[in-house]
Amino acid sequence: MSTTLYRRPGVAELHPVRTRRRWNATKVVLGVSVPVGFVVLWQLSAVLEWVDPFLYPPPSRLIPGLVALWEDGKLVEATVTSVRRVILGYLLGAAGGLVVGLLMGMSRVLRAALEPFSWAWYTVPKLALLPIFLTIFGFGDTSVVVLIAATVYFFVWISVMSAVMAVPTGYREAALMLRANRWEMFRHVLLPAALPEIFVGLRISAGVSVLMLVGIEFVISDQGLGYLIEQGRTLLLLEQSYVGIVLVALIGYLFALLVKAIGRLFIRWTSDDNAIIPT
Amino acid sequence: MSRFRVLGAALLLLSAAACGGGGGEPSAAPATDLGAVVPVEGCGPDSYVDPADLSPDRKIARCEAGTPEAQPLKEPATIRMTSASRSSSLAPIFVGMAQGEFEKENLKIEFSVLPFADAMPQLAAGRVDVSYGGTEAGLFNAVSQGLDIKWVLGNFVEPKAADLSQPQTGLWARRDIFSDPADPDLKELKGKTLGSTVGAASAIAYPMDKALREHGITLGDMEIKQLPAADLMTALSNKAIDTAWLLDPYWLTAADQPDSYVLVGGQPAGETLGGFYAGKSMIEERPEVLQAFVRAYIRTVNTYLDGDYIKDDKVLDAMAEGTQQPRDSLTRTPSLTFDWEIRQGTGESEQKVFIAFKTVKYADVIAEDRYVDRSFYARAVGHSAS
Repeated sequence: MSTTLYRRPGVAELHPVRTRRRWNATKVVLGVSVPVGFVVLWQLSAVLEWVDPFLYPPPSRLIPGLVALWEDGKLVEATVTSVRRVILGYLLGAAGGLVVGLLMGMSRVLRAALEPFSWAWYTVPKLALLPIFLTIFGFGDTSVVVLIAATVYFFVWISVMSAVMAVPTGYREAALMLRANRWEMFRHVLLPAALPEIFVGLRISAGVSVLMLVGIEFVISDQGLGYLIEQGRTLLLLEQSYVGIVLVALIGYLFALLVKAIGRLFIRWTSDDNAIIPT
Repeated sequence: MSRFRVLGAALLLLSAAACGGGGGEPSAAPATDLGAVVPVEGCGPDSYVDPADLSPDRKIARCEAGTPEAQPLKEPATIRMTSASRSSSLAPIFVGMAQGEFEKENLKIEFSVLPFADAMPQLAAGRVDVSYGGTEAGLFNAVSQGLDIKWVLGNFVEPKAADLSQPQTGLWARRDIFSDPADPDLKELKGKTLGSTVGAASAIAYPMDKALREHGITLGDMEIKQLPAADLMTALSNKAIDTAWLLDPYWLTAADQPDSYVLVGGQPAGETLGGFYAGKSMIEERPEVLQAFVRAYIRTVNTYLDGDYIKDDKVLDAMAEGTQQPRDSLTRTPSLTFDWEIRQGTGESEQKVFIAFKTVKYADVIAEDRYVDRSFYARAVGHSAS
């Protein structure tokens, strides 16, 4: 006995434009309401003394702290320093990781030669290399930038190599049937197929670069947002630490968003997964 | 209907939590009356020095060995103590523990490593009883923001501080930064870099500033670079910095190369820059326990740590165990002069430097009685005027 299943078109099919707009609006509202809810809860917990307001200064106390840091120029100086370091380190590391990852993804020989060595280095916590970097590059910005670059490099390298290797064999075979040469294979098959995964890796490494930056600035620097956070902790100026933490979170988010936005320019065909950058 | 019930229950829970957090904290136990101060056998007039006496060559307060005598607590008590490191300046604690001086008072010490900045809020909240640290900017910020923390015991003084021909902890400079390396003119330090662990926020900001002022410049005339203590000597030898405040045992490396480095400033002679800090949980709620701790500390100093104690094997064993450093490393630096007292004005001088460098967020010096309590060590030696 056969069964016939009938399905009426849903709202999405009947009103695709309206549905999409509504979903986009919902995503933005959800994306914004969670942090807003968090801030409200944070403020309430301090006002109602569920937590010690000295140890956990509420958002209302961060605003005067932010103004004070702004007025004495510390905030701008720290933010500019940190952003400069993270962008330089990220660009250096990402460029290296991209090139090496693509080459290793396409070449079995290179993979066989470099993969064990690279994996071994990948697992070393880069902060443990700090004394070596300090000896080689000195105590200035160079050490910080190179250490961020080294961290980003490994994350990008792995994601790029994996993305290239994961391109389905059928894609390559189709291109070979069309007599594509090595460059054409790379330009028209491997790169477009791997790009979505590559940009996921680039976005993850954007966050990692900020993590690394703060870690290094905690330890050696006398500038930057990491230093601002650490100084606030040491001096028991906890508002300063919290302002720094919020700024670092914001920079990390904006940085990942920027990489995502750049990614969207290159991979318009993939589905959207972000509330702020709708398709 | 059930949705409203859930909402009602949630609101009830929230309001209960709010009430619980706001006014339901356990009330402070009534403070124990420590009674009148009575003379202590073995602790004569030399056991207490007027806090206003800042002379570097004054006699450091001491009682006879084995005194003040133990007065065991009725009930065993535990003291949760923290320190940023297992420094050799904690010898009275390590030796006192090894020799059973705290046990004699029915006290047990639970020692853990925690940076002083992180320990202060715990101290004020009563989760830590005693912390070892320095008179840092963080302490004054904490006090100014209402945290109840008191400096109750000093740590040590540096009798040789005034004599810069004696290698010691202090401000070391590379000779090659001076136009005449053999005879450095310290005015030339203006604009040079200075490496320090906590920068202008540490207890040594005051002695650094004092040392520079003697030569017509201030700490503000130098560019401060903040680096970990272990990296300062490396930075100095790499010429990444020009000068550095080198702590034990790092100055030994500089002292081994007198042609390359020169000591340009030492600690303030005769002043302790740190020591032991207690919170409300000890001072107000368990003063008898703090008193027992202070008594055991002072007795340990009098009995084992007066003079060149580093040559005493049992002291060295206890220090090696406590600091977790090899014996050879401990014997490389000279014995410290422990001083449990707190000089008058040290905190004020520190604050003035911190205010100038804006590492504290207030402009007027906080009165000493808000962060110093000399009554415990005075009572331990029977100083009745306390």
